[in-house]
Order: sequence, then C-alpha cells, then structure tokens
Amino acid sequence: MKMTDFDQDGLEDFFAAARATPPPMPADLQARILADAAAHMPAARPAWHRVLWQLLGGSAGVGGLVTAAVVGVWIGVAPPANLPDLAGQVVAGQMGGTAESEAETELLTSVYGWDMEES
Amino acid sequence: MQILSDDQRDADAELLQRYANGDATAARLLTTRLAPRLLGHALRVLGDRAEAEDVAQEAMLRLWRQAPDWRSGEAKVSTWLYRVVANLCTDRLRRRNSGAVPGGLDAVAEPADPTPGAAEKMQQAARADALQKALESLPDRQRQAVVLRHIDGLTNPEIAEILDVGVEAVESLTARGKRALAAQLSGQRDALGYEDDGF
Repeated sequence: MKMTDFDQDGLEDFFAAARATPPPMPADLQARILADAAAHMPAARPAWHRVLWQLLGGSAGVGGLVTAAVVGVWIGVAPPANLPDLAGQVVAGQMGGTAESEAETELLTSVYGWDMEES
Repeated sequence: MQILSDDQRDADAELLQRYANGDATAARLLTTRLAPRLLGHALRVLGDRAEAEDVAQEAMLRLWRQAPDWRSGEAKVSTWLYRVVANLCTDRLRRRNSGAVPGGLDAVAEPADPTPGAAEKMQQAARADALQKALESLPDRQRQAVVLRHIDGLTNPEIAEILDVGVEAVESLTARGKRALAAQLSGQRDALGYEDDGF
C-alpha cells in the first residue's frame, strides 16, 4: 500500500472510528454544569405589561383604580344633590351671597379648614 | 461528522436567550447539545479525563456568565465555546510543557461490549485508541486543528476563528498533522484489522 492510499482512506477510517466512539458524558459532570447554570441564571425578566400590572398592585390595585376613576367621573358629571358643586362655584366665582352658599362655606371650613370668605 | 446547520446555530442562540430570561429547561438543553462535544474535544487534545471534565465545566460556566450580554448574530455559540475550550486546553498544555506532570492517557473509547457486533466495536475502539496515542505525539496546535477538522467536523474558517489564525494556517496545520498521523498509523494497520478490510 502506498502512503497516499493510507492518507486518503486509512486515516479517514481512524477518524471515523473516533467519531463513532465519543467519550460518554458523566452524569456528575452534567450535574455540576447544571448546578453552575442554576447559580448563574439571571433573574427572570417579565414582559413590560406584567411589570406595570405588578407596579399597580395586581388585580386588586387595578380594580380599585378603575372603580375610583368611574366614581369620580360619575360624580363630576352628575353630583349628588347634597354635595356642593365646588368646581362650578370656583370657576364661576359664586362663593357667597345666598343662604345656600353660606352653608356650603361653613361646611368647607369645618371639614377642610378652608376659609373661603377670606378670599 | 457532525456539522451544525444554520437552524441549529440559531437554536443554540435562542436557547441561550431563553436561559438569560430565566428558563432552566434551556440550560438543560444547551448542556445536552454542547457539553459532550466540548468534553470530547478537550479529552482528545489533553488526553486526561479529569482535566477534560474541568475544561468542559469551565467553558459552560463562562457561557452561563456571558448569557445576559450575548449578542445574537455576532458569534456562533458552539464556535465561541470551542474557542474557550481551545484556549483553556492551550493554557493547560503550556503548564505541562513548562514542567508540570503530564496527564496520563485515558482510553477515549468505552470498554468492549459483549453483545453481537462486539468484535467490530472492539476494532473501532482499538483504532480510536491508536489514533488517540498518535494524536498525542503531534505538536499542540496541529493536534487541535486535526481534532477540530476531522473529529469535531468544523470548517476551516471556523477553526481559524477558534485558533485565532488564518485559514491557510489551518490548512497547513491539518495537512502536516495528517501526514504525521499517517506515518505513525500506517505501521499498525495489520494489528488494527486492516487486512480484513482489504487495506
């Protein structure tokens, strides 16, 4: 046999034998590698909407926010009869003169500490 | 010969991304896909099982640490890992060559299996052992290049990237390595069953 024949065929046969007999992967090595992976695994990074949901307090927090918003809009559009129409009075500058507005002023002063008559 | 396709390459990068996002299953899959090949390469280059296991574990550890900063598309995960393993092996070989105790030769092949076809397996194991002994007589860089090309099945450009040399240098390393291997192994062909194969 010439060396060139061995180069082309015989040597490849040795390489094929090496590829066909890979060293086994020891179970303890795999366990060590996985332990390293667990120790160095970055913290889970949830999607932005999950982060926002958690920042707002989850279902309870978001439910409260929605309820408060709806009630606020409802009161603003159709305030109950026994509540002063503060927004309308402040904007219109009608904070005095009538018996009704005086009662409202007393209520504000007693409850919130505002003395609207000083202004 | 195992050569990764583009799909497989993307799969490794995607698994690494999943690991970086906290998916433990991805770590297990990456370990199953990549660690045995790293161990095999290190074992063939170093010829010492304990050292090869340390190298494979260290390479995977560096991959876990790199995961959060991994940039997909810049490097192939397996090539990056082979490069880490090659460098770790080179460091250990240099320490050996500087006077440390060399690692003992471990049989790469498994013991013969007493089942039908056992004779063929024994012959393959004997050839693999003979190749391993011949490989260990090569200069370190030739050995690394030959193992990467002809056992791990990487392309010359990939090997050039791993060994940090040009493609022509890789071709030269593998050609010289194969000539040296052929010179050693051709004398053993009768003992290794080549008469039966018609060689």
